[in-house]
Amino acid sequence: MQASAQFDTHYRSIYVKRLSIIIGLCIALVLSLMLDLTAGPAQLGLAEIIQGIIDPQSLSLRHQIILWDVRLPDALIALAVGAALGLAGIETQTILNNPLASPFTLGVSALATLGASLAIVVAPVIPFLPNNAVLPAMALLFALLGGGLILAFTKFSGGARESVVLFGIALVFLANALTAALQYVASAEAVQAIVFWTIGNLTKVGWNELFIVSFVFVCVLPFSLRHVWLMTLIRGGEAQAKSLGLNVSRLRALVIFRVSILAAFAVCFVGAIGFVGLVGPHIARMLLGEDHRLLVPGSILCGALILSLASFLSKALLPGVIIPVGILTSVIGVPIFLFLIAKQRKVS
Amino acid sequence: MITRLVLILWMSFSSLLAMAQIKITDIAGRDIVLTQAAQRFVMSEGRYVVPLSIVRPENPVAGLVGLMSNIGLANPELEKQVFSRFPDARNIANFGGRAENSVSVEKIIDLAPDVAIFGLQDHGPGSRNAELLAQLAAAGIKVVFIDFRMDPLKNTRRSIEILGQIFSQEESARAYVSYYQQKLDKITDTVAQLDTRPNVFFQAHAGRFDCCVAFADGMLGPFIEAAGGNNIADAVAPGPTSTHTEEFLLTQDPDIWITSASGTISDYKAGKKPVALGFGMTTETAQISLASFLDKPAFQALTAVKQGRAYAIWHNYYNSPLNIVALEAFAKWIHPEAFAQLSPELSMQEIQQKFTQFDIKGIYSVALKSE
Repeated sequence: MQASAQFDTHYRSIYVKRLSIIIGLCIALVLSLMLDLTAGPAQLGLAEIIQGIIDPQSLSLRHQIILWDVRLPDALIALAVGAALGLAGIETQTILNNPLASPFTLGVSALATLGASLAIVVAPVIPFLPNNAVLPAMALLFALLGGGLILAFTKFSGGARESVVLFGIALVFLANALTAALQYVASAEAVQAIVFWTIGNLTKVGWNELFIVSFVFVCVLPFSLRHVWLMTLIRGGEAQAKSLGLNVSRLRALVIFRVSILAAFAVCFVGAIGFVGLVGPHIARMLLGEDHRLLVPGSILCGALILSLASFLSKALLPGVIIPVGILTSVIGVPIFLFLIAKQRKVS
Repeated sequence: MITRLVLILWMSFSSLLAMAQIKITDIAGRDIVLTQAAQRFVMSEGRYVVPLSIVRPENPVAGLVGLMSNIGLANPELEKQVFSRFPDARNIANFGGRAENSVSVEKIIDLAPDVAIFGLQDHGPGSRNAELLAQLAAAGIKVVFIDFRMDPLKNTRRSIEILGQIFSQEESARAYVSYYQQKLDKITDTVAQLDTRPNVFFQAHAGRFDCCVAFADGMLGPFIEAAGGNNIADAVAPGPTSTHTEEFLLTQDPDIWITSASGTISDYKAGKKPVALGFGMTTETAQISLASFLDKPAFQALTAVKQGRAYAIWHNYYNSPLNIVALEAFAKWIHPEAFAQLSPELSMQEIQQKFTQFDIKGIYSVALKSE
C-alpha cells in the first residue's frame, strides 16, 4: 500500500515536472513569436505591433503592409510549418521505431523538391491555376505521390518497418537523381531557383498559404492525439504491442498516410526545410520522455520553436538582408541538441 | 653568296614568324602566345556569340567547333538568327551541359581547337580549374579567359580587345572599344558633376526569383553607382547578390526601382510570371508585363512605383559587351534631366547596325509609365 502510494507520488511529481516543461515551451514559443515579429529593418516596436494587430488603421499604410503582408504571415508560417514537421517527425520516428527517421526519410521532401524543380524548369501553364500556385501545387502533388507510393509499398510488403525505411530511402535517392538530371538540362537561373527552393525560405508566403498549412495541421492533429496511447504502447516494443492485440501494420499505414499529407503541405510552400522534423522530436523526447501524451505536444512545440527562432535569426543576423531559414534551422538545432545529449549523459 | 641569300631568307622568314605570333595577356593575367589567328576554337557559353559578332561581324561562328552550352539557352531568338544566317552553326558540338562540372575535357580535345575561350567565372570552366587547364595545355590547346560578368565595367573593353587579338580582328575590336569608351566617358564625366545620388533598388529576375533577390556589388550591381545612383542592397549585403523582404523595400523606399527582365515574348504570351523584354516585345506589352508584376500592395506602396520610376532592363545585358546600353538606361532613369539626350533603345539599334548585324527588333528597356 505504502509502495503504491510512493509510486503514485513519484509519477505525479514527474508528470507535474513534464507538464511544467510543456508550459515552459509554450511561453518560450510566445516569446519567440514576439521576437520574430519585432525583427526587420522597419522601426516597428512591440507596442506598435500589438496596436497594429488590434487596430490596423492606427498604422501608416506602409507599416500596415509591413505588419500584415510581411511580418505576420512569415512569423506565423514558421509556427505552422515547424509544428507540422515536429508532429510528422515524432510520429514517423515512433511508427518506424527509428531515431533517424523523419518525414524526409519517407521521400516526401525529396519528391516535393523534384516537383518544384519540374515546375521551375518546365514552368508549365496549368488551366485554372494561377501562375504563382503552379510551383507549390507541383511540389505538393509529388510529395503526396511519394506518400502514396510508400503507403502502397507498406500494404504490399506487409508493413515491415525496415523495408518501409529502405523503400523511403530508395525513393529519396531516385527523386534526388531525377532532380539532378533536371538541373543538368536547366538554365543557370533555373538551377539557382531550385537551390533557393531546396534551402527553404519563409518570406514568400502570404495568408492563403498560412491558412492551408494550419488547416491541414488542425485536421490531422486530432487523429494523432487519438493515437497517443497506442503510440506509447508501440514504443514499449512492437512484439508486446502485437501481443496486446494491436494491429501494428494497420496503425503504421494510417500514420504514414497522415504524416505524408502533413509533411507534403508543410514543405510545398516554403521549400525543403529539413532537420526540424528530425531534431524537434528528439529534443522533445529528451525533455519529456516517451509518453506520447506529452511527447506529441512537446514535439509540436519544439518544431515550432526551432523554426520560429530560425525565422527571427534569418532577419536579425544581417539587418536588411535575409539569410535563408533552412541554413539556420541546423545552426540553431544542433547546439540545443548537443547540449541536451551532453546533459543526458551527465544524468545517466 | 648562296649562304648569304639563305641567311637573308631565313631572317626574313623568322621575323615574319615573329610578327605572326600573337601575344595575349588574358583577363586572368595569364600570358598566351598564339602562332596565328585562331582557326578552330571552342567557347563556354553560347551567349558569347554576341561579342564574337562584334569582332567578326561577317561570320561570328566561323571556326567555332564547340560550345559548352548552346546559344539558345540564354537567347533562343539569337540562336534562331544564327542558324538561319549561318546554317553550319547547327553542327557546333556541345562539350558539356549547363555547368562547369558537366564539361567533357575529352570532347574538347577531340574537337581539336587551337584556342578555348572561357569566361573568367561564367557557368563554364573557371580560371581556378587547374586540372582542366593542365589537360588542355598538354593537348596543345591554348586557353584564353575573357570576362563580361564578374567585373564588366573594367573587363568588357579588354575582353573585346583580347577577342580581336585572337582572331586578328584588332580593327573591329578597337572600333567597338572606342564606341564603348566614348559612351562610358560621357556618363562618368556627367555623373562626376552631379551632387545627388538617388537610392536605387536593383532586383534580379523579377517574377522568376522570389522577392526580392538584388544585385548588390556583383555583376550589373556596380552599374548603379557608375550611373550616379546609390545601390541600397550593396549598402547592407556582404556578397554579389542578396535576398531581402518586401519590408526592406518599404522601409528604404528607394527613389528608383529597377529589375532585370529575363522573360521572353513566349513567356509573356503564355502568361508566365517573369517580366519580359527583348525580341518581339513592344513598349506596350513590356509595360503590361512589368505592371502586372508590380500589382501587389507592397510594390504599389513604393514611392518609385507611384511616381512611375519603376523600370525593367533586359537581363541579357548581363555577361554581354552590350552592357554599356544598360549603363545608359540606368543613367537616364536615375538622372533624367542630366541624361535627357541619352536613348538606350537607339544605342541598341546603332550597335546592331554598326557592329553585331543581328536583327534585334524589340524593346530592351522599359519604364512603367511612358514619359
